[in-house]
Amino acid sequence: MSNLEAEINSKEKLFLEEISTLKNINDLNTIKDVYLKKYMRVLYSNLKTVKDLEEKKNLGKIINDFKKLLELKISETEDRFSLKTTSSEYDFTIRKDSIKLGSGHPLIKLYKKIEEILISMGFSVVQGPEVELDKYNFEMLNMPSHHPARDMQDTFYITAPNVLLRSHTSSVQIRTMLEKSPPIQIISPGTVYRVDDIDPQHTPMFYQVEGLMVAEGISFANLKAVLITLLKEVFGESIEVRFRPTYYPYTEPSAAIDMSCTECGKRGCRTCGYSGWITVLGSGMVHPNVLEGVGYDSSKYSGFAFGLGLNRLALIYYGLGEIRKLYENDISLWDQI
Amino acid sequence: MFKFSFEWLKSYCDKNITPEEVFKILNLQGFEFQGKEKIGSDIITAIEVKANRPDMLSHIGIAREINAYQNKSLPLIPKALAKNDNKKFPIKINISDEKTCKRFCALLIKNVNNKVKTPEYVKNRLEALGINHVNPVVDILNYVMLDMGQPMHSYDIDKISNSELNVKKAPSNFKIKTLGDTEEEIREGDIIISDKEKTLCVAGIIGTDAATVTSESKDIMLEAAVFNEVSVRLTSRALKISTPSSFRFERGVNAESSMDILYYCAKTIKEICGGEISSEQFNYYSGNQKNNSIKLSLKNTNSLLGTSLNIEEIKTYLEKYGFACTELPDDALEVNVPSYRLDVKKEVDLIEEVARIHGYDNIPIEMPTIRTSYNKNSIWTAMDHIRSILIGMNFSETINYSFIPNNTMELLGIKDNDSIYSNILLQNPISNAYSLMRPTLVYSLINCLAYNYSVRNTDLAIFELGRTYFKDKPIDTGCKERNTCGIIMSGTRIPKGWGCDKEVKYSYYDLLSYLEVIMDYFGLEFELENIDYRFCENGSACEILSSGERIGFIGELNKKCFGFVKNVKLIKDKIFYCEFYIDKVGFKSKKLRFESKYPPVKRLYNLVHSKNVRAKEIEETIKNSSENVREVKVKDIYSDKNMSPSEHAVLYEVNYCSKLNTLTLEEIKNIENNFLKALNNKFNASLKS
Ligand SMILES: [Zn+2]
Repeated sequence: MSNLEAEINSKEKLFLEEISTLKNINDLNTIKDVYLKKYMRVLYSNLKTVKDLEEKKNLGKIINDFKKLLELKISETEDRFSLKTTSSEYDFTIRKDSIKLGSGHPLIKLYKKIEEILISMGFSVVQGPEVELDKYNFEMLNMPSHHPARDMQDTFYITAPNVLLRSHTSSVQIRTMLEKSPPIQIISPGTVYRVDDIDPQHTPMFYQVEGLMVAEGISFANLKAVLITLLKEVFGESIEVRFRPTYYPYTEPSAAIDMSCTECGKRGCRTCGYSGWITVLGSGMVHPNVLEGVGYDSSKYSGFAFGLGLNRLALIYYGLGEIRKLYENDISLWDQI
Repeated sequence: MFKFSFEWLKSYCDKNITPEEVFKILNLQGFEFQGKEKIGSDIITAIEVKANRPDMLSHIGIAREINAYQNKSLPLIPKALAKNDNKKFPIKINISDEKTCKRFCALLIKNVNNKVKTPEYVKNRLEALGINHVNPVVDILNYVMLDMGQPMHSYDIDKISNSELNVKKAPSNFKIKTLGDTEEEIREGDIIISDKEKTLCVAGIIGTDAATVTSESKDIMLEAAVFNEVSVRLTSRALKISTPSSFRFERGVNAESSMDILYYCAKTIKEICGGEISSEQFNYYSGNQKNNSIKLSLKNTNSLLGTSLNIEEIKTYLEKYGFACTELPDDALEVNVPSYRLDVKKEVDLIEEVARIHGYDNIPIEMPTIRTSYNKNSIWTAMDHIRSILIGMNFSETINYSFIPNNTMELLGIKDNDSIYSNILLQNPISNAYSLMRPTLVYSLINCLAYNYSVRNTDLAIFELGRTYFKDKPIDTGCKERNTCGIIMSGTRIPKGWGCDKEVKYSYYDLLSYLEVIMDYFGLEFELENIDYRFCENGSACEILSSGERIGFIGELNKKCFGFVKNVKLIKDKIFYCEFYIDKVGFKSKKLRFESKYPPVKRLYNLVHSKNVRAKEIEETIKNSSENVREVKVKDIYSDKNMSPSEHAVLYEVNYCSKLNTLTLEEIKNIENNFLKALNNKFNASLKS
């Protein structure tokens, strides 16, 4: 190996080390100047002094290879420092805020999640009147007048005692059962009313969905399966669901259904009242008095019903804080969810 | 709600039980925990007792539930040493009928000393549970009520005139003074207890001063009765008085134990205040002391619950809770219900009991197999589509209260023969501002728009899919409800910038076009017809008609008319509104037209004409001028200073195309001349110079 060749080798090592530890762009210019300009000039003038043709050819190749290496590394380094300008004139970080969707109401958005799952399980959507008869809202639901359970729902009246604003959508179930014979598999979504002043945590209006399944051989085990599936689909596979005894005049046995708090994962927080659980559903096996009342043979048919109030749930689901906000409709909030 | 003392409860339960265990058991059994408070060394807990379980409104009742759960023996109410002879009872008591009063037990204690001090534990516990201390006799009555659930009352015998009492319904309305000297109105039919001269108490609710036991009283009569639940409830509601006693009577009191509890109470009074308990007691019990026994079938239990329990398991469960069971040959049980379980009347009540004791979480989970047919709900689906279309066009959804101010109709000048008039009012609204069931969404939406402006959300298009309400006699509720879509918009639709050198505001024509988009989606043909609504700007209001039927209206809102709406002044731009009913979905069939293979030619014509000439008329004239006019569209509308105020300029785009050839300039020129002449003749419309 000639002296020159050895020198190029050591220069190469030096260059590679310098360029790989380069900190800023200015140093790159220095490197360019030192290696590509000055050193190359030196090498080429050295090459001219070589007499032996074979050797000259060989060295020429080595010098050229070295030059290529220099150029490649310098170009890579330039890329690293983004010295080269992009050829595109578009700034892909810009959006027009005038192109967007409007926003849906959170109660409806949450309801639609629930509806989608129930429809896929075979439930049909049925609507009914909000101005309702006492007969369908209370009496045929095993709540004759003066029933103590009526205390739980303070009712708005159009003409007392017979015409009122429905306090739940169970009235739609009664109307449906009076019209059709089993099997029945329906959900009835909609607005319901209870006398309550408007303040941060109270409103006189609610959005609710109730469901009903009546056929031969429907059992409490079926109720559990349908409602566990529903809750896990809406709130995620990881939630826990528990069933507690409770009382509704129109179902027996009746069950309150809690799910583990989605905020704290059962450790206890403000959302769940430090209990780790959130009550989301009321449900139960349709009371034989209700079935007989609509003309169904209760020794042949059985069924389950459930009801889900969306207001409190929407509060938790979207972190809204105040129930009242659901009816204030501040669109800037809706835009975020 | 019932509040109980943990220390008190513990006297009936396992001595080592902890408050946490108690809460857990109650919660699992369906009695929701509602809060607790530490008072001294005791813990006062509130639980929710639903209407079906009045037996849980006492310490002994809660203890029964806890002990049953823990497989311990149930606490019992001591039996009375009863010797009933109503004829020998020194006070003549007349019960009007068994419907009014199911049971009435009374006994006398003579020579009590009611000046002694109420024992501290009684006083403390009553206070902790929210009952005022009065005097020893009254305190003990209250104490025993909280202990065992039977409300009781005491009378000073010396104050009963003629030694005679009547339990009856009030024959007419009259006024009385209750304890605490407040005057109350008794209505005909309320159950009262009176002597010859005066009313002594409103049965089961509150006493009067007339025969009340004071610290001076010597000879007293104690009463433990069971009055008609509904009657007590109605009277209590009418008087707006709810007492611990009325609260229990409304929900049901176990008549079977009245005498036992009364006797136990008398003995307690004797221990504390001295005196002698009369050897005779008065005991009226309207018959039916028969056992409440129900047949429970194994098959029915398992099929309703989806379980596979056997008869022994069920028997063990029920017996634990005090139900006596006898096995019947056909896989069934004869179940004898304890008298305090007033809620258990049918087989299904027992099945619920079995489910509760077995534990809901131990019931299996099994998907149902059910065959129902698919029921299309086209209106519901239509509303979903409208929602998606509007949100897609940058409208935001709102939900507003169904009730609006009671004077909205007058304020908006909506007359009673207008189709959007209604006067369905709530009888018990939360206030007059939330009182009329809305027959239009316009108030709700402008109110909502103004609210948004007040929180600095400006330039908005919002909508609501809600109900409107109208009187309609033939409907069973007397009310027709219509699914209604309301749309409101104001401010800037397209902001300045991005090539737009002036912002574009929402306009009347935007609203018309949005309406067209939606109606077209549902295949509904519609027409507009001017209507006079005072709350709309002059000439802007139109009814929307579809197949001759009125399905809504459209207009620019008159802001002055809505001056009563809070924050409406913040809206500086014009407000456009429209609403339509979604109770019909049309099916306009759409097919591709044959298209020409020759290229179309588009030309613009800026025509100036009277504002009274409708663009549609111009369009039709142009279309009819040649079969080679394929389409006419309005591209802009404006006025400027050079035009008369009754005129405006409309920019029409005409699309020419022939099926036979590529149209020549000459051919187009010909058509153009034809319709321009026709327009000039017919409408005095001319090209803008
Ligand atoms: Zn939590």
